[in-house]
Amino acid sequence: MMMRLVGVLFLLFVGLWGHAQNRYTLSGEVLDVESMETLIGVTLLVPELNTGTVTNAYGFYSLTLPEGNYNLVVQYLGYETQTIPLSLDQNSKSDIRLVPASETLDEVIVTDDIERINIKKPEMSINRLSASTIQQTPVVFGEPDVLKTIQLLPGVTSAGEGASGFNVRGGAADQNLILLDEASIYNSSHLFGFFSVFNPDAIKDLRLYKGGIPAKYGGRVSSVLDIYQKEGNKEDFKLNGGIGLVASRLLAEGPIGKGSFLVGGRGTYAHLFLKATDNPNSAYFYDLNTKISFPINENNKLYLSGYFGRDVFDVDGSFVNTYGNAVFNLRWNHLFSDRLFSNLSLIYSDYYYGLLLDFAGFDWNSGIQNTNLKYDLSYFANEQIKMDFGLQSTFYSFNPGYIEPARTDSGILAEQLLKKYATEHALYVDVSHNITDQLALQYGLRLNHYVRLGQEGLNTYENNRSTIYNTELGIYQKGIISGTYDQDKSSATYTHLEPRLTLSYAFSNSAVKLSYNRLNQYLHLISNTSSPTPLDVWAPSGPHLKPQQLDQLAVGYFTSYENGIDVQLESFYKNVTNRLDYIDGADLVANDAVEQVTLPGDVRAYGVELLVKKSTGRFKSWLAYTWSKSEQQTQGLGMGDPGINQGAWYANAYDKRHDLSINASYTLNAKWSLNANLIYQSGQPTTYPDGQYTFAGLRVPNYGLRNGSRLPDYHRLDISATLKPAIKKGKTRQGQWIFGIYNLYNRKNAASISFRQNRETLRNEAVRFSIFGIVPSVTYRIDW
Amino acid sequence: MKKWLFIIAFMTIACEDVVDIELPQGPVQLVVDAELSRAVGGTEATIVVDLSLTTDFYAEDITKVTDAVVVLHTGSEQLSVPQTEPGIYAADLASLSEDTPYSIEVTHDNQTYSATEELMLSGTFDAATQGDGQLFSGNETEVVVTFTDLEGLDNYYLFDFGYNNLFVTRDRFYDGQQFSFSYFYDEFFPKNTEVHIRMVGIDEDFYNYMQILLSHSGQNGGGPFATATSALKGNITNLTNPSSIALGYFRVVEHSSVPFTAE
Repeated sequence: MMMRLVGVLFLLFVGLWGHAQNRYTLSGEVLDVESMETLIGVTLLVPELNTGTVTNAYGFYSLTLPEGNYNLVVQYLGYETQTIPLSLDQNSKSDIRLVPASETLDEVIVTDDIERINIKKPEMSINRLSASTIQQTPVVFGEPDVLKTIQLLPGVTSAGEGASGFNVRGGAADQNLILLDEASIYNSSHLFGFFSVFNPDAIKDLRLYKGGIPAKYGGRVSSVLDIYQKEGNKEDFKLNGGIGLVASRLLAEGPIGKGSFLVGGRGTYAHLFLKATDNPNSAYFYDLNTKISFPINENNKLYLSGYFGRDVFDVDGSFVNTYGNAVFNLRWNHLFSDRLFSNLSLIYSDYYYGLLLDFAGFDWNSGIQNTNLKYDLSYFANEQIKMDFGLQSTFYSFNPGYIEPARTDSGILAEQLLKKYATEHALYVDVSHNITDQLALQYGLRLNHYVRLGQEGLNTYENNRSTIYNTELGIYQKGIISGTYDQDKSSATYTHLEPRLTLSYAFSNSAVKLSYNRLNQYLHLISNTSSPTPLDVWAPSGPHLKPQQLDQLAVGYFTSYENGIDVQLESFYKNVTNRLDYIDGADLVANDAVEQVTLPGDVRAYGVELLVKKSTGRFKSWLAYTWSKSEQQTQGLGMGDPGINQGAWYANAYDKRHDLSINASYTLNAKWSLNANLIYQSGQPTTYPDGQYTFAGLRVPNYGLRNGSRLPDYHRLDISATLKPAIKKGKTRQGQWIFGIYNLYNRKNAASISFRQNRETLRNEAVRFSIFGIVPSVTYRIDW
Repeated sequence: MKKWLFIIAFMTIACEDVVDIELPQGPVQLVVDAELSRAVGGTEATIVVDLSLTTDFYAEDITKVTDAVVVLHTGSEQLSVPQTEPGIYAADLASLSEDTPYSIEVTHDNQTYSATEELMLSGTFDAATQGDGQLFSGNETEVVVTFTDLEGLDNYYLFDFGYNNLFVTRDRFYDGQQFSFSYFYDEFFPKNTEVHIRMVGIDEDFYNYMQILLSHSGQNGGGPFATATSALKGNITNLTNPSSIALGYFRVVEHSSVPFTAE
């Protein structure tokens, strides 16, 4: 059945079945020669045919070419380029082992034709980062961090230091699809944004799709951050660890049977210091990454991945806040043939949030769970066409909260808030098509079918309005509940077709690219703070909350110079409808009817991004500059109401007009390497008061329109130096010292400015809250 | 949210400092702080209307409005509310009735402002005792307040703990129960001085209003988790010129007080 479906789809979309004559397929995996870890995104080029392919997320490649003799060029950043002579007269399997480039010697000689094939790939708005880039980038406290590093890329920013998540091309943090080994992660930050949940030692590959998003991804409108964990070393048992100022980490990997395992743990010991000073408060996080790969035979492989992380804040037992993600994933890779690759995944993902307020006797537990079944196939038709297609099904369960008394003498009544359920199904096909030597296309279609499941107890509202406008008082209020839905009427179904297209036209060493994509998002993270907090509530679309829809258009110019410098210039425009805005004074905690306190609005963002990158040689560097604008408009309900901010476009909290990052690294010699970041950003939008008044004895600042002012500009310089002492004779232990200074010139960048009456002098004042001044750090890392 | 920021401040080197920020200048607006109230279990009521003007954020003095005319309407009856001290207009009523609209009318600068509300019933404030818990600095004073909620009503409460310490709570999770919670005074709260902790039963709209007002007043901290701020509208409308609004709120409530002395 599946093969027939494949055939039908194939004929339907491509219609080139008959071309596959006198062609043979070369397939296999590309591996690191030392660890036998599969490598993702390795470029395999056939200069004679002006074509090529890349390895998929499991390191698999398949090339179908006319019979003949070729040179296969295998290229991957950080590895020596290999040229393999190839005499193709039958289908054959070949695993390719790449040798890591020694750091001082990897001046790559790039020839014109290879670079041109590389550059004409029909993909744009994608950034890749290797684990070593993340490890080397200086960060606060010397803790390598994925999210802090991606914020150095063009088009990526955040709502400030200490803000959770990240913002891509003017999108909100909840509009990013974050995948760890294909499983959704709902909260990407530890300690409210100071660290990300990804253990950099366990990461193999990271890709950020800012636009031109392939049809296999869906469900979030802004970006896709696709992270793959290492499988573990298949040759030797290895142990590595790092000891830093606030956290330590340890990772073990090695072979088991024909397969491999990886176990990594990480934890902060900030709470130890707090405890030691007789302070009853503690704040810490820990996480655990695991992965097992198990090859059954040549054509079948099993992978088991897991992640578990928790943050804990405990203030003398009277305020305890616990939150974190747990992810479990079982995958089965199966090769139907050397040209048809498949992966079946069963994924369970859970986000938990708990809050204990002992001083009020209140205990609140909430969360979101999903179970996801995915079947993804790739068909490598010939040197011109590759097809990805598949099926994805997700079942969601939302728990807005179970409230219980925290003590026996508490007056709190136990209550389960109404749980909500939804399913999301998708069917997609995506084709990469080399039309001519110069023109390449990637086109795809995704069909989403979302169902909010019916249940009893959901509110109906007068005039079907869940939020109303009080004309007399000029404020928005909760809709008037008129009853509850019958179970069968409370459901809501949304079906959307999403076209995706990327076009690339190459000439000499340059290419012009164009992409369009439409995406829909059925889950909303409702937040009334400037940046998301872990307690923000994920709410499913339903009869009253409509899905968000995005259209994005991007154009780009890409060029490569022979001295190894790449230049990418892109411009984008995007528009999102049904972005929810909170009405003033909305209560978040344990709210199970968020439709009463939200209004739908529109978001538009546009900008220009420049990336200049030199990724080879002793001196590596990139410069990323973004000029962009991100605005929101909430016009209201059409009842003669003004909407938010008088219905005018206003700046989003993460709108930054200018955003410049420069990252540079220099390998001095075999022992020492140096690294630096320079960051400059326009101050983020905020609301300043235009006066004050007194009410109930309090001095109150009087605020005008939202986000009408800006904080002072943000800038800082970070440096770090890495020392790798020579390995002693007869030892395999490799130590590494990383010395860093974050915010070298100690600028007090404002995370926020608040306005209040001083409690001692009783005078009004503006108070700047800055998070990190100059922060020196030392980290010791060791590999056994 | 204040609490979280303090925790973060512990583990990093976050700092707060006072900065000079040039601020935009808004128009001068009338501010009406009006409360018609009676004690829980009592009959006699009092109306107190505090009238002032908005001013520059950094100004030390607030301008009182001393030339306004304030009238309270109940059904067909009218009660003139005289000024008893500069900017304060007050009068007593023999009783309050439930399900009866009460309106105040304030005339100032040739504009008439009005607001209409009904009596909101309150639960009973039972006790306030000192606890020995601490929060962050170790210099806090814990007070445990105990009150009994009215069953079957959506009740909201405003607590005024004195010295600009205000707090709002709702009975969503303790309807009809006797309920206790702790409030922590900061180090500026005087010891061995009696304060009267005042509990006021309020409605949902005023609860929402007070939540934003408390957040605006900056007494709830700031930082990246601060609620996005915007103009705060109360329930006062301008009958003469609807687009020129007055700030503030008029509420009709029941209150009760319990004395508390910290040791």
